Amino acid sequence: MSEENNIKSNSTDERLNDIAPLLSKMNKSNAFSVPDDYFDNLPSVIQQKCIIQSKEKRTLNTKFLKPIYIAQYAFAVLFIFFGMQFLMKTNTSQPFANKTSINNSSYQYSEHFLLFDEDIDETDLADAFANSSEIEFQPITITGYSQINNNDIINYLVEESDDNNENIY
Amino acid sequence: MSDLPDEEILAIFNSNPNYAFNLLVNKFHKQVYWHIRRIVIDHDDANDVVQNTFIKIWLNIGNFRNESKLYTWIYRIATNESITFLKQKRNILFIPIINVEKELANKIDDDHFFIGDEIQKKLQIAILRLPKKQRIVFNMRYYDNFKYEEMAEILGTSIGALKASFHIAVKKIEKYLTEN
Repeated sequence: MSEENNIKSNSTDERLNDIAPLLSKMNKSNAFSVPDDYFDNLPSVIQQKCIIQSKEKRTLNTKFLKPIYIAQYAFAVLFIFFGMQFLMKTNTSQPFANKTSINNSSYQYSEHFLLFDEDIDETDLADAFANSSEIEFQPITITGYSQINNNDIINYLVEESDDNNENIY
Repeated sequence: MSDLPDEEILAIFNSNPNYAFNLLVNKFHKQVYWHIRRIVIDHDDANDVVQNTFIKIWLNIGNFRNESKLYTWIYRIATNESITFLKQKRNILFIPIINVEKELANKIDDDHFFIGDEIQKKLQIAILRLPKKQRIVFNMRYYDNFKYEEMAEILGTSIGALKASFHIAVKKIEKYLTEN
């Protein structure tokens, strides 16, 4: 883009002559034109556009800033609200076993473990033992008592069953 | 005034950005326009792209870190804007890139701002048949006499690759001119 480039272009031309004789002979003059006074007006056109762009950028910032802040606060409030809802739900879904005072140190979960729930009575338990050979009720330890096994539980159920329950075994 | 060194123009930006930008535009607007025009061919398109280029320069001059020369940074923006324009044109028209170049070649026929003779028209068509980057490399070397080091900075390509690209471009153009 200066005298140095002119010197360089001469050597470029020489090399061009070797590999592209037709191209090297061609006139390098500009084959394109522009409208009259185009370059005289271009700088002022550019300046005006830049001023408009700067104004638009500032307007854009203030126009959208407020709604963005409002959206952020709304999101934070919703997040806290639903987060608390979620936490409260998970706290209420504790295993029923925690409601009892049984010492669970030797309590083992099996595939069909039975929960001590007030809705389940001895009839249900007996049915479960009678009808399913897959249930394995692991021996449990109740504080103050010796270890209880399956037979103890079944005997208890037999003793405590009412007369209508004919299907303990 | 428009021949102030780039470093001085940059220095003025700190104290008087509007004046400094005015100097910058006056110094570079013609060169940048012709660089863009050779890529997009059409004057109206080149007019849009050159304005977008200088708007980008205006909005981002604060981020210019002097890691490269000012004019290589300007040319890089101009090149990217031109390539983006051609890509957008392809997307709007839903045609593959090779047809965009064909469309540009057709524009030369209809363009009343093309004042070259028949041989120069053939040369422009031959240049348009080159891959996009090769075309840019050829234009910058052949018309603008850029050094390979400068082109490497602008295009982000190695000097060796640029030399190879230019050499291949020249061979292709020569072949086209010979056959046509």
